[in-house]
Amino acid sequence: MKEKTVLTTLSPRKSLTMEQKDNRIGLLFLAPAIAVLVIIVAYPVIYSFTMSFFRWRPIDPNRPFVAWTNYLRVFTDERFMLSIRNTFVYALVGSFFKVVIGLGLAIMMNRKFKGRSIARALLMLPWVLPVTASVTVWNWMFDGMYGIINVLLFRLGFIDSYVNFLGQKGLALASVLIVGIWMGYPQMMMMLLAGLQAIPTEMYEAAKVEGANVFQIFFRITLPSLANILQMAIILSIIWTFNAFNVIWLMTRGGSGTHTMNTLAYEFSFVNMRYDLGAAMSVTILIFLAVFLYIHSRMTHKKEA
Amino acid sequence: MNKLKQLLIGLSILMFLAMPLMAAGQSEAKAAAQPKSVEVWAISNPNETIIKAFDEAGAKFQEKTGIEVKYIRIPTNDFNTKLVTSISAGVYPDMIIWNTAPGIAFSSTNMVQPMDAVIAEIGEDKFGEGALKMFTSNGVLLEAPFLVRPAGLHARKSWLEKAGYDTTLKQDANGNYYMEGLKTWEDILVAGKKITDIPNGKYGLGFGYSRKAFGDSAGFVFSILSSHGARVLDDNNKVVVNTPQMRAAIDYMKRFWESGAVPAASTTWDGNSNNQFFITGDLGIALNSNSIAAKLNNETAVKPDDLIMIPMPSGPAGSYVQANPESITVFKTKNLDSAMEYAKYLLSAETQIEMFKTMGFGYYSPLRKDVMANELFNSLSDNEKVLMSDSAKAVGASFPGEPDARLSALYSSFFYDDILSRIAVDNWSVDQIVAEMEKKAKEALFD
Repeated sequence: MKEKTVLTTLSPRKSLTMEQKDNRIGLLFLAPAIAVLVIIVAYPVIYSFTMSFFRWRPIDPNRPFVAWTNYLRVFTDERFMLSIRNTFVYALVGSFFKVVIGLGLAIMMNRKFKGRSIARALLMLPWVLPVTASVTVWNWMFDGMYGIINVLLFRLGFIDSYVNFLGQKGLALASVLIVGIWMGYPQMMMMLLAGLQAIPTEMYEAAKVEGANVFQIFFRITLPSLANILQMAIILSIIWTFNAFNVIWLMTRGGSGTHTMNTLAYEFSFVNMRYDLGAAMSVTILIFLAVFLYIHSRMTHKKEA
Repeated sequence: MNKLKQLLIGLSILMFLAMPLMAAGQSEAKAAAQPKSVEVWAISNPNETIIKAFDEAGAKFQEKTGIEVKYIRIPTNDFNTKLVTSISAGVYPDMIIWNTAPGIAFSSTNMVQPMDAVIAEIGEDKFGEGALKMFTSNGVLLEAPFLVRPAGLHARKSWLEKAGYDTTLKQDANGNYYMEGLKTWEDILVAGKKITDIPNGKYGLGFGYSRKAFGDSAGFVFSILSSHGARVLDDNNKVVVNTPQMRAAIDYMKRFWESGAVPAASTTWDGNSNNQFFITGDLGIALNSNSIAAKLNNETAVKPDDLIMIPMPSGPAGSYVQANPESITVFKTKNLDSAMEYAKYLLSAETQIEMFKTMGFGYYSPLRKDVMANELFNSLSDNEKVLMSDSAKAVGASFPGEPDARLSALYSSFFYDDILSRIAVDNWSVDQIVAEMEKKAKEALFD
């Protein structure tokens, strides 16, 4: 008994349970990945956050602390206000159509028909093609002098003169939105197709036997069964679309009233050489995204529970 | 089992820690064994003869000195962004050959190598005073003037002649070239309207009113502003945007747009669009670098002999064209000595003459007077003569003031391009545009 007491006093290390030991090993193996994440994600975020409180321009080594000035400047700038509006329009309208088109096509691709594999592959093309290649083609299609869209609309009698799709306010945002939707629907289609394939066919067979029509089957079986995956698809689509940059920058450089928060933050940082204002915009974007990520994480937890 | 786990963990940690050390050891050994080299950032110019001329110069230099020249070619549109991000991260190229005055822009980093000694060695008198002044800040020459690529006013000879213009190139008493009826910017506007025939797909004035037309739109605006005597900063370092000259210049660009001779689609043009549409035969007059001439041949819709260069027109304050000369900027990196040696090589008259033999003429103009005086330049075509003479009208981003890093940065932003967007896309009045310019200029220069 005495010997046991001495041993306990001499060895302060608590004996770990198997689970704790496994967790430790797991953490050790994760350490390199965590280190990489800290370097490439956490560090730039903290750096940007810090930068947003200083007057910080790459051509000027003097970087005084300016507290909230950059945020005040950004939030009183009408260009930024317009970019917030555009970002929400782009994200919400874009996500709505991506999900609706993705769902429609997923339902079609879930049916058996000849050439289904080829159709699936073709429908995936917008997602697979390099963005710059797609945007170049779309730029030409929307061209106000020779664009095929203008030629078709003119020949079909829908327009009297060629339309400057990317050069008119409102129309330009709608045009880049169309391209964004075209590039993004395949992701939604794939997610929803996976969900559709998980619905037991017996449910459809039973519904048919009971005399349910197509709409009843869709609204009573398909949609409720896809509810979880649809929620996830919508929130992920909003996050991805919210972060969109390439399409807008490559098609209009933010001109014709198409600036979103991302393109404007980029322009301020790397074109106007105002890292400070660009950083303040980026931090604002991060706050918006954090809200969406919170919703996403709540949904994931709920699902797991 | 536990021992095996511990051994595995120990090994993993050791490997993780040892990797950077091993890499560092290897890179040190490599650096010691590597031959001398110079990393040069230049644009990925579409003209093959220029790429060839630079490659040949690099190869000959390597042959002569053993120093390897590594060109990093960057698309024009990305050049500034790459430079800003790179320098902000503390990564400097050894040398830059480009026209955005990076030495002036980044003078405050103390990483720019002064070029006074190199120029003194060659002889200051060999360069134009203006060219040296353009790169001198606080009495220190931060870039060496190399070549200039002026934009030229390209026009369809047949269209102008059909409209009754005499396209013969004439010289006035001072030796300046001109064409009758095409001497001023107002003349160009009239000519543009005359040759426009929209039902037949002919637009008189092929000018990009877009923020995507990197360089072209800003160059057009700056040329018009300078020719009207408008400026952003006065000699007392005050923003002077709201002036009669500025308003007249903006009013001119507004009338230019409203003439109906500029295609509506030009609000979405990129830097290549007016080249393409000129070559395909849709445009009558276009302001562009001489890349158009290099692409014309007997297979293209517009034949080479249908191209004339109109000497740069005048505004009320004179005749100017925005064309930042291409300069050589050297940074104080570990390859400083090699970079300086290559700079000297490129600046020598012999090298430049060899390069011009490969590049052809007109696209670039030399900035060394003795190179310009070479017999190679005696038998130029009329178009080449116009381009060479226009290069003397070239003004940089700080014109008419002293070189200023802030004005260089302002030029590289969308400050000037957006004037055209406000006219064409937003249909703003001159007052609205001036007010926005003043706000933006104050923000960029004094905030």
